[in-house]
Amino acid sequence: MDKSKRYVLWVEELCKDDIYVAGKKCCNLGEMRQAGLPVPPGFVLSLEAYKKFMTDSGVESAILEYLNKNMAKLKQDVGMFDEASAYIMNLLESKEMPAELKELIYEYYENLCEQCALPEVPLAVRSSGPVSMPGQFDTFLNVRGKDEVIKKIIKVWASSFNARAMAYRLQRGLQVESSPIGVAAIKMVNAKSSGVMFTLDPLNGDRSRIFIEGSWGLGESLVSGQVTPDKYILDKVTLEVSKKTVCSKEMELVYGPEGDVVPRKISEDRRNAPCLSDEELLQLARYGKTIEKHYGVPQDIEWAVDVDLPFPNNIILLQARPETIWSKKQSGPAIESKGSATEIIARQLMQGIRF
Amino acid sequence: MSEKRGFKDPHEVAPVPGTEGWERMYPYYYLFTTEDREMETHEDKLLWYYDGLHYPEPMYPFDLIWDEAWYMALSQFNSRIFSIPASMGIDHRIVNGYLYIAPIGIEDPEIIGKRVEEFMKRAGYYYENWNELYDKWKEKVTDVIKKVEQLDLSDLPELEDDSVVFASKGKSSGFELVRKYNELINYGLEAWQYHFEFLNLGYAAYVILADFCKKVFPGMDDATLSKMVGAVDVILFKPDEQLKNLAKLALKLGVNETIKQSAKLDDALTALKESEEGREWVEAFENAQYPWFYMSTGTGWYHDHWTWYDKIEIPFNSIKNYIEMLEKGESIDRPIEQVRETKERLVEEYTNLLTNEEDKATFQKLLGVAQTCFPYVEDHCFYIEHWFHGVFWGKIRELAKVFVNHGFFKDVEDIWYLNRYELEQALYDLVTSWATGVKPRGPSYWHSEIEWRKGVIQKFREFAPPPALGATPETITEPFTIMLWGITSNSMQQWLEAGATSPEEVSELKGFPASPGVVEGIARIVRSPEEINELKEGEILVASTTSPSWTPVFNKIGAAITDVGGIMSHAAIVCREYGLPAVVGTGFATAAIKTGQKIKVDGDKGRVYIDK
Repeated sequence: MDKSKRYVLWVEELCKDDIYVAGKKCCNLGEMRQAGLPVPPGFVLSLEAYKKFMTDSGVESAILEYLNKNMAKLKQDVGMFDEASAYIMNLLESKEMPAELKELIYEYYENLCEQCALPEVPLAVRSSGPVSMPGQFDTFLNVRGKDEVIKKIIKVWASSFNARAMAYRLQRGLQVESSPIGVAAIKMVNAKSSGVMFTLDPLNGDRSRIFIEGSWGLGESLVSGQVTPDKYILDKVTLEVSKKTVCSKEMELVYGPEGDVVPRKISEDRRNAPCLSDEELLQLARYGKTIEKHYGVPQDIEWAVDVDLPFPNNIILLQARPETIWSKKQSGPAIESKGSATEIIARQLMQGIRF
Repeated sequence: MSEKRGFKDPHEVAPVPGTEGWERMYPYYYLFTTEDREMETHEDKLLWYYDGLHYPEPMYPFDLIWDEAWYMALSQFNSRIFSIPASMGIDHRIVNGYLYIAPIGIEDPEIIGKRVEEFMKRAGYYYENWNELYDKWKEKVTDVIKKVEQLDLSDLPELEDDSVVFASKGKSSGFELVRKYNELINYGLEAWQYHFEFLNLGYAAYVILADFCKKVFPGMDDATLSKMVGAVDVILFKPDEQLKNLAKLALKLGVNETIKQSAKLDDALTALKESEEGREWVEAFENAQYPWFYMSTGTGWYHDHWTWYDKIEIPFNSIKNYIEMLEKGESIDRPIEQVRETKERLVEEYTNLLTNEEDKATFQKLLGVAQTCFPYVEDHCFYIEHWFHGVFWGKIRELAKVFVNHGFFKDVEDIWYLNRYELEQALYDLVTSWATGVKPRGPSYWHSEIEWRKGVIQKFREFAPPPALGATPETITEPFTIMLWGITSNSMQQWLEAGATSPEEVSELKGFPASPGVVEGIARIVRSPEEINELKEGEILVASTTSPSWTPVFNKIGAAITDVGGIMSHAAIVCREYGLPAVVGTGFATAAIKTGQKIKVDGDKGRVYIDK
C-alpha cells in the first residue's frame, strides 16, 4: 500500500522524503535506521491518521464551529487563545480513537512488545510535525499498555492546539482547525546517561571536531539545563579525544516506581565520574561521523546509553537534525587562495603569524 | 624597562659566584652590551629566550663554533638571501655560560612590501625545484664531509721530509697545519651554511600551513598536522634500521646466542670469527657502519655527544636488545605502512571537511609544498649534526693530540676550553715554537687557564638559566622561533606565571601536545646521553631535550617529556612515529619532576601531572 495512505508505519519504513507522511522526527529516525544507526524501535502514526481521527470523531467540525463563533474575539484578544485551547484540547481528549486506528495501534504495539521481549514495553510518545512550529507539543515518557498508548497519542494530537500554536497559525493565515502532525511511539531507552552530540564544535564551527555533552540519567535534565554536563571534544578524523571536561553532576532524572520521571540526587562517588566510558565515547563519535556522512551536513544529535544493553548495543541515537547555526554561515575562504603556494606563503609571512 | 611587563633585564643577571671574568672565554660580541647606551636600550626591548633546545648545558668555548655558524647562517638566509618579508635574523648572547637568542622582526610595511617581491622570486625558485636542489645539496654536503675526512692533522716532523726541498714545495708542515686548521673551521662554517639553505623555507612552509589550519580547524592539534606533513621514509631512522637488520641477520645465520652471550662487542667479534656464519655477520656489521654509525648519542651539538663509532657498545647493546625482541616474536619494524595509510587518510578526510573550494585549493597548495619540504626538515640533522659533526669532532681531537704532544694540554679533552680564535692563536704559538726551537708560551699560559675554565663551566651548571630575559613582544612572527623552540605568546605567558612559584611546588606542567595518548608511569630524569641506559621498561623519559639517536630507548619507554622544543623537536617526531605520548616545551620538567615520582602524561592536552 502507498505509504502516504497508511495510518501506522514502522519507523524503518520511512526515509527523509517522507516528512508529509509522518513528520520530520519520524522521517529522521527512519532515515537513521536505514543508514544502519542504532535508533530505538517503534512505530509512527501518520498525518493521515491524525486527519482520520479529526474527521471521524467529528472534532474538526466541532472546532470549526467553535472558531467561527469566536473568531472576532480571538483576533482581538490574545488571552482568548488560552480559553480556546483548553476547550479544544479537552474536546479531543474526550473522543475515542476510531476503531480502525485502534486495531492497528494494538497490532503494532503488541508486535513491538514481542520484538522487545517485554509484556508491556514502555514507550516515548512524541509529536513529529512536518514543519517547524513554535510552541512545544507534548511528549509522554514511559507509556505502558496499549490503551495508555492510545490515550497519549490523542494527547499529543491535542497538544497541536496549544495556545501558542493556534495563535501562530491564525496570524500566518494557516488552517487553525487542523494541523496534521505525526506521532512517534518508540521504545523508551532506559538511559544510564544521555546527552547531545554536534558533529562540529558549536563554539567556533570547527568541522574537524565532534562535540559531545552528556550527563547521568534521562536526557531531559540536560535539555532543561538543570545539570552542568560533561563535555568531550574529539578529532572527527582521528577520533582522538582533544578535550575532556568532567563536571560535577548533582542530579539525574530516572523512572520512578510508577513509571513517571523523577529527579534523583547523585551519590558523591558517581557525581564526578565521566558519564561515558572511553569505548562508549568512541563508539558514539563513530556514529556521529556516520550520520554526518549520510546526510552530508553537520548534525545535531540526541543520544542515550541504555542501562539494560551490553556495549556496543547500548548506544542509542534518539534524534538527528542538521546543525543550523554554523552550517548556514556562508563562510568565505579563510585566506586568499589566489596564486602559487609561494605567493600564499609570501602574503601570509607579510602579515606575520599570530599564535 | 620597569613600566613594561616582561622578564628580567638581561644586563642585570648576577654572575655565578666564583666565575667572575667568565666573559673572556667567549667572543666579545656574545656579551650583552655595556659600552653603548643606545645598543643597551635596543637589547632591553627584545625578547631573549634561552636556547635550551640546542644547549641544555653551558657553552664550552670551542663548542660555541656551531652557534657562531648558525648565528650567521640562519639569519642571512632570512635577511639577505631569501628576503623573508617580516623577519631579519636571530641575535645571540651568552649569559652565565648559557645561550640566549632573540628574533629580529621588521615592522615597516614599506620595507616588508619590497622584500615580498624578492621573496617570491627567490623562495619560489627553491620551492619549485626543491627535490632537484636537495639532490645537489646532498652532493655539496657529502663533498665537504669527504674533504674534512681527508684533512691530515698529524704532528709536525722533527725535520721536514726532503720532498719539501726536492719537489720545491716552498712551504712547511707548520704552515700547512695552520692552513688545515683554518680549512677545518671553514668547512664547519660551510656545512652550516648548507644546513640553512633549505631549512628556513621548509619551516616557513610548515608554519604558514599550520597557521592556515588553525584558522579553518581551530581545534586541530599539531600532532595531527605533522602526521599529514611528515615524511614516511626518514633518514634519521636509518642508523637504527641497520641495527635491526643486523639483529635479523644474526637470527638468520644462527649467531644470535653468540652475540647475546658476549658482554662486549670485542668478545662477540672474536667468537664470531670462529665460524663461517659468524664471519658473514661480522662482515655485514662492518659494512653497515658507514656513515650510519656517525649517529650521535646526543644531538651532536656538543663535543661529548659521542657517536656510535666512539661508543660502539651502544649500537651493540641495541642489536642484542633487538635480537631478544625478535626471539620473543615481537615486531621490531617501524609500522611504515600504517604511517603511510594514516597520512593519506588524514589528508583526504581533512580536505573533505573544508567547505569551500578556495580553502581546499589553499590547503592542497600549502600541504603540497610542506610535504615537499619535509624530508629535508627531518633529514638534514643526520647529514650535519651527526655525520659532519662526528667527523669534525674527530678531527679536532686529532689536532688536540698534537697540542698534548707539545705540552699545551694535559689531555686531549682540554681542547674544548679554548674558543676557535684562541685555538688558532695557540696553534700559531705551537708552530712558531716548532719553527724557532724555543719553548712555547702555550703550556704555561693554558694549563692554569684551562683549570680555571673547567671550574667555571662546572659552576655554570649550578645556575638555572631563566627561560627568557628582556621584554615580551605582543606576537612572535619568526618561523623558527615558533616551530623549533615552541615559543609563542602563550608559552611566554606560562613562563611568566611559572616564574612566581618554585619548580618543586609545581604539580602540573603545561607544554605542547606533541604526540597523542595518555600514560601514567614512573619518571626518570635523563640529563646526559650516558644516562639513557638507566631507563627501565615503561618508565617516562624526562629530559631537557632528546635526540633521535636515543631511538632504541623509545622502544622501552612509556612516554617522553622535554623542557624545550616545539612540535618538530626530535622527541616529538620520534614519539609520533612510535605512538608514544609526548609533551614537549614544558619549560622546566627536569626541575619540577624527580626520578621515581609517579606522573601522568597527557599527550592530547599537553599536560603533565605530578603525583607529589
